[in-house]
Amino acid sequence: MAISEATREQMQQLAARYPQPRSALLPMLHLVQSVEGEVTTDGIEACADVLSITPAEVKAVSTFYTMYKRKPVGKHHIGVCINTLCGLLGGDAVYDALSERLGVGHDQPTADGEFWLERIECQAACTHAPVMTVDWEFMDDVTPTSAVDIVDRLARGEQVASTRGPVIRDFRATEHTLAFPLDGLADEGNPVDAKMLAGLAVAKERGMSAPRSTQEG
Amino acid sequence: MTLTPIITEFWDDPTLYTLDGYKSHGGYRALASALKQDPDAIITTIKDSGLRGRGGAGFPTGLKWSFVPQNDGKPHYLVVNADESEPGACKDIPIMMANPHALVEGVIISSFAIRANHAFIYIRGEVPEAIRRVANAIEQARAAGLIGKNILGSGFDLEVVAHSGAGAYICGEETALLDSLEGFRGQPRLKPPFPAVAGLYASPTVINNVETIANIPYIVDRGVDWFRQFGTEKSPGFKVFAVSGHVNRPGIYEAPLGITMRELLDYAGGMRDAMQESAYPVHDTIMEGLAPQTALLARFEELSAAMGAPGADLDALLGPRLAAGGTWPAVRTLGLRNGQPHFRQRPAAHGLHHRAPRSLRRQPPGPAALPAALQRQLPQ
Repeated sequence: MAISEATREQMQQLAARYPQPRSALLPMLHLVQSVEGEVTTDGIEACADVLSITPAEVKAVSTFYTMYKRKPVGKHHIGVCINTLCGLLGGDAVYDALSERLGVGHDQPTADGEFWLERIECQAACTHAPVMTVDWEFMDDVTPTSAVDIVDRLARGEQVASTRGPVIRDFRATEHTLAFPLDGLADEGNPVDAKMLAGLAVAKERGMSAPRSTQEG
Repeated sequence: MTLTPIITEFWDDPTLYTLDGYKSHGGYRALASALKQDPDAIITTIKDSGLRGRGGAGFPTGLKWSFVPQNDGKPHYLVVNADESEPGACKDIPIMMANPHALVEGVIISSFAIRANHAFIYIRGEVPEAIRRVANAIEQARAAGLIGKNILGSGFDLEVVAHSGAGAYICGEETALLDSLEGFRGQPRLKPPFPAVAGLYASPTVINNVETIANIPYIVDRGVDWFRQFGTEKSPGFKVFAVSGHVNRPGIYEAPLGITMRELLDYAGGMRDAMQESAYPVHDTIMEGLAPQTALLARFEELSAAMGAPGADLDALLGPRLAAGGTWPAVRTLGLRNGQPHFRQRPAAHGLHHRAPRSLRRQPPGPAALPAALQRQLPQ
């Protein structure tokens, strides 16, 4: 689909944030996915046009990064971390259960265009393993049962909230956030959960604190 | 050794991520004092503090800053590496979600010290919640006159951009990150030249980890002597540890450097079941088992001696069956590194890859099955 004039203007805004416009290319490709649902040829050409580089240069960049897809992702992107810690604590079983539920394998969309399943690598949330993401928002400490339940609820159109973030929107909305992060959702949901407070809780329990001033000796 | 919540001290205040919340706990006091000083004096303070980079290499931060040539007529840049993605390391993302203003205040002070008028926080694209909270903090700081032109009447101008990555583990390597930030494929560069001389846009650039920069306001506010009362002679200060694996209370624990793995494990409620005596600490950057030396100190100098590089975090505690024969974590981590052109990353290259059996170095795509012994340890 042709890239609209409004989207091109947003691309210009992104380019203006940087001393050299090409630095905006990664956010611009996120913007393309937010309106196209994937990195399309039209999107590549629009980026190239705005940055005065060739479409081949844009494509070379888009194929390097795993978050950019060349097929329609569909409504929701589902990620399951299977790297070391999540794998050890059950991530593989979660992935297998979701793969069976959705009937697709790694990096594939479902036929109805509702979901995209991806086996993801370390999501930097090992304390919350095994971790799943929906449209890249955290769904922490999942089990095969709870993961399938999340997908079922999304399929029924029910409201699902991230465990450390806002209510789930859709893949395109998250991609827009990655281009323009001031999405008004910073106040929604509290990402600071009990595991992030684990050490603080132990310190309080045992009366431990860091001195505020320099101690002698 | 006791826990010392500093960066994490007020994380249970749900307003901490806002400007008002952060200020109510003394936030931005350090910035006001820093802007009245000579930039070189701040570099000296950070040098004297002995702060070492919290991103993996443990390089002295003040020394790194001092490599930036002055009066060279070129723009200078500060780039914050927030591309946390090493299995086992997960402390920067929580800092950005819970206490983003500590990072933003650190960015402003650090930029002032190295005379940069443009700073970038490169956050991996897979964590929109961290990105929106950092962007929100930047915007609040800008609205309060803490970012922009003539900050607090000092004559210092600064623009800060929260930049989203797009999924590339290699971009945690600083020169690959720079290429990515310039809008190219994230390929590492040959050094020299080092980024301090020719980094972003071939200009002098300082690249620091999130936690390193989040330390800066506390050091400037409370002083070198205060900072040095924590930690060891060679590794002063405190560290945000993310303890994960087969432990009873996985989570974030902040303690002085020099704390032992045994002590951290005790705070985390010990190993599950009867694993106590054979906990298997895994070193994130190199993913090499340090075990069964559970008394190993979380100190940069000892890790450097043992591993060749200290790593960003020391936190994954796995059960004994892995220690016994376990190549499984190594295989899984290699899977990540084989999936993308990651081997040019030096820490990865001189670590696991070179130490792993040759047969493991080229795993086919897709994960190997979890060994049956480990299957039994999964929560039911």
